[in-house]
Amino acid sequence: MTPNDLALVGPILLPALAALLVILVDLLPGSQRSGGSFLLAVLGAAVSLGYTIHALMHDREGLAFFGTMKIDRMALLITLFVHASALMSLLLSKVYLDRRSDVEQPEYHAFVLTSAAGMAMLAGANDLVNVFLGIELLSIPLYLLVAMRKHQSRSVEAGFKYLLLGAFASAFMLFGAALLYGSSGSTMLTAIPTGIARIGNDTPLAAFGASMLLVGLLFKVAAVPFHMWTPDVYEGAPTPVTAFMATATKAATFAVLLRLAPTLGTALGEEQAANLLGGLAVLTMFVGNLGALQQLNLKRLLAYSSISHAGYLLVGLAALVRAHGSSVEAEAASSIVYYLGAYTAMSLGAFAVAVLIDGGKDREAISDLAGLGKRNPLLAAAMTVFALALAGVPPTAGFFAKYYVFLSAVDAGLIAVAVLGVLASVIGLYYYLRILLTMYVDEPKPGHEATVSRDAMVAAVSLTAVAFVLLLGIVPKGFVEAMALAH
Amino acid sequence: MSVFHYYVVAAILFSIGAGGFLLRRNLLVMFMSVELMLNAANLCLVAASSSFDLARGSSFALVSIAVAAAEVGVGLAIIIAWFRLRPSVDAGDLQELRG
Repeated sequence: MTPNDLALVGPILLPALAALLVILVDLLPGSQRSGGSFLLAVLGAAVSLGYTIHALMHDREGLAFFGTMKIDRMALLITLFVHASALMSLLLSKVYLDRRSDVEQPEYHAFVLTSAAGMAMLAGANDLVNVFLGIELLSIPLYLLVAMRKHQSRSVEAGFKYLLLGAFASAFMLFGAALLYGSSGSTMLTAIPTGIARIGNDTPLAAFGASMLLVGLLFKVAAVPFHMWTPDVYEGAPTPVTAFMATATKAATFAVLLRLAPTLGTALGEEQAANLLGGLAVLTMFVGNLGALQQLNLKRLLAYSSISHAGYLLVGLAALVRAHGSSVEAEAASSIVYYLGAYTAMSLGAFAVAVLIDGGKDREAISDLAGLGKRNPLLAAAMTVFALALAGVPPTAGFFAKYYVFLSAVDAGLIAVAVLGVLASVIGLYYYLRILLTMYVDEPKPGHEATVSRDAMVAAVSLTAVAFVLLLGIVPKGFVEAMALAH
Repeated sequence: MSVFHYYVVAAILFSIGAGGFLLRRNLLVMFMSVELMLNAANLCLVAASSSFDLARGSSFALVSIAVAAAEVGVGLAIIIAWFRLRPSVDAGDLQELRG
């Protein structure tokens, strides 16, 4: 371990240190009522974010800890999304938690930071041990965050479901990792494909291992058929936590999937792995979009929307596996990273609106949005931008995200998957437009109008998200070049 | 005995765990089944590690035992929170959220 190693993994260490500090300061007498833990946590998240941006701008990249951590451009970009999401979610949680007295705030803030540290670790992990540690470090605090409102059965039930299924998926992941180790003799992600080739492909051990590892990771990104927990957990969790887990978990887990792509290709055969991922992508897009059609609850609708977005991302992954070794590989990788950035901005924005209109009643009915266009035109305009972006309408970030992912699928020869993806997003258009119709056309039912709270921090989050969704959409070229993963 | 015999035992243990998780309705037993699956994975790691004569797999198993302990701690905390709200450990009672 050298000082350089520590500097490279700064984006992982800083949020972890901040989490410890939050817990320690909470032990000081008289600190409980002052809201100091919130300020400290926001500061910690902001410093982590700043450090990541600094590392990105000065190309602080390299291998750390004997090659078990690989802090490259992709890892730093994903870490950037994770820390931005953590900071935004902390800002959202202030108004949400102040209206509810049943949450221990210092613990809440410390868990968000710990989970962010785990996600940053996952983004840079280059070794199966670190992948496992990162997944658990992000998941265990999330189980607790979901169940944080311990006197409300909805929240505890959601936390419990997430924990049970999450632990089940972790067991699959660990067993898969063990089999991959057994079939390659190495735990380093970069050495596993050559290891499998050297030891020989005469046993299905490597294929079993890779598929079981894939099951565990697909569970985390809420891909079909491992998506069953998503709507329940997203609905039961506190809304800022839902925003955090929908965006940051997805980004961090896709970082690992990107790094595992060569292993999947070697263990399963490139053609078969691409077909498998493409098939799962199509299923995920359709199940997500069809499931969202009949939802009456805004958080459940966003949960199904999040499933469908996992599907679009899997299209990019299938293209990446299929195009291994060609120039399309880098194109697919940067299309996935662009998608993750765009999704983080638009999804966080939509959840920020959900926090604003919640009014402390834990009722997130879509029909409560009726008349919002007249009562609060600014908020309605922001929600319009997010809905259009999630639907993939130009000139928003959502359109170009889908465009680049489908383009790389076509370039990789997965034309059927791309066509089905476009069809699925047409279905998706319907329920996003329904949100707009409710806001601008429907008359509100008396007593069920959404009470909009005025909160500067949430407004700032929404504005930032609007700015990014539009910027990424209007000048996508600049961002794509910035995100180009030149290897 | 080759390393494959150990893999077979591990696979059987893993299947028993997965079967228990899917078939039993008692939340504590479901949780125990997951532990069995994790231990099957540890057995696999240790067996592979000794076949390669490297400590890497064994140290991975140590890490995973520590993580599993943390997971159990959090799991039991959430079970207790759930039990305080509703005195039942039946998985069928987890049904307020659906749709």
